[in-house]
Amino acid sequence: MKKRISLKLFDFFSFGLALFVLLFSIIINFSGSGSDLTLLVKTREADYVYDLKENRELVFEGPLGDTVIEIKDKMLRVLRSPCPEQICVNSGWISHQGQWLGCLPNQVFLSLEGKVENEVDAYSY
Amino acid sequence: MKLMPTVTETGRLISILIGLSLVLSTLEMMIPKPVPFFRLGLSNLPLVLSLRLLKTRDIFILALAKVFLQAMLYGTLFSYIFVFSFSGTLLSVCLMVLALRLFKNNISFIGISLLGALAFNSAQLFAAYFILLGKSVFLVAPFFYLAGIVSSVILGYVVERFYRESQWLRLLEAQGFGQEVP
Repeated sequence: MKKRISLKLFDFFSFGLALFVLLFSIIINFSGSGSDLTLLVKTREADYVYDLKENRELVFEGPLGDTVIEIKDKMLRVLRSPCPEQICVNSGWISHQGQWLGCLPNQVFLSLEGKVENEVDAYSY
Repeated sequence: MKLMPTVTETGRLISILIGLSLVLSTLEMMIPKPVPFFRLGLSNLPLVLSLRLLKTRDIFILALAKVFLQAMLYGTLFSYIFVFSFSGTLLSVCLMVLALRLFKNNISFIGISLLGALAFNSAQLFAAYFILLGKSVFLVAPFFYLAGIVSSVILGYVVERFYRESQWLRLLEAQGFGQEVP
């Protein structure tokens, strides 16, 4: 004897609740976090702090000349540098907390710092 | 006709369900986990089934016995894993019992099991938030909930089929189990 299994009224209620919880948990991941990263710049003369919210180009002076950096869409790169090997320029964009760019010949060091650590990079169980 | 199961019969049923739960959880340990935390939750099958068979007090006895015995078997009794399983099981049993008492026959085991999974996962997430991982737990929350939803619907379907078709359950009902949902 087989009876068909039909869903009852409050089954749909719990499906609805499940969907709501799922969507809610997705939404809290994408809201409010923004970018709290700050850019720390160390040059020969002084240290500077910037945020990444605005797109702009900044110029820092070192012993060889001007290092130009670009901030765009909360990412950062070295646009031009007077150094011979161009390692800093070729390093490309950085955007995560803890990443850094450096130009040793021109003595410019750039690093991204944050307040809260909010990313899992590995998980062990 | 109100038939009450005797104390001996109740004790026997609880023991059987506890044993079944432990066997199922051992079976489940043999299945490799594709993703951490993704489990079928087979060991919760007797617990979900008991919701329509036992009195509230006996359901809690079953739940607590399951949690403690499982922890003793796998040696997790004094680790943080125990906190997860204890808080999760307790909250989900509370919610499932409440849902069943409120909605009576307007909800099937599928819905009940789903509610239980939501409570279980929420309790675990908050336990993890407070003791282990902090804010970063909410990054895994969607995957966690999704896994719970999928596995609990499967589990609920299995229990519902079992509840309708099992001859053993008809025998138990003849002894007076699950006559009234108190």
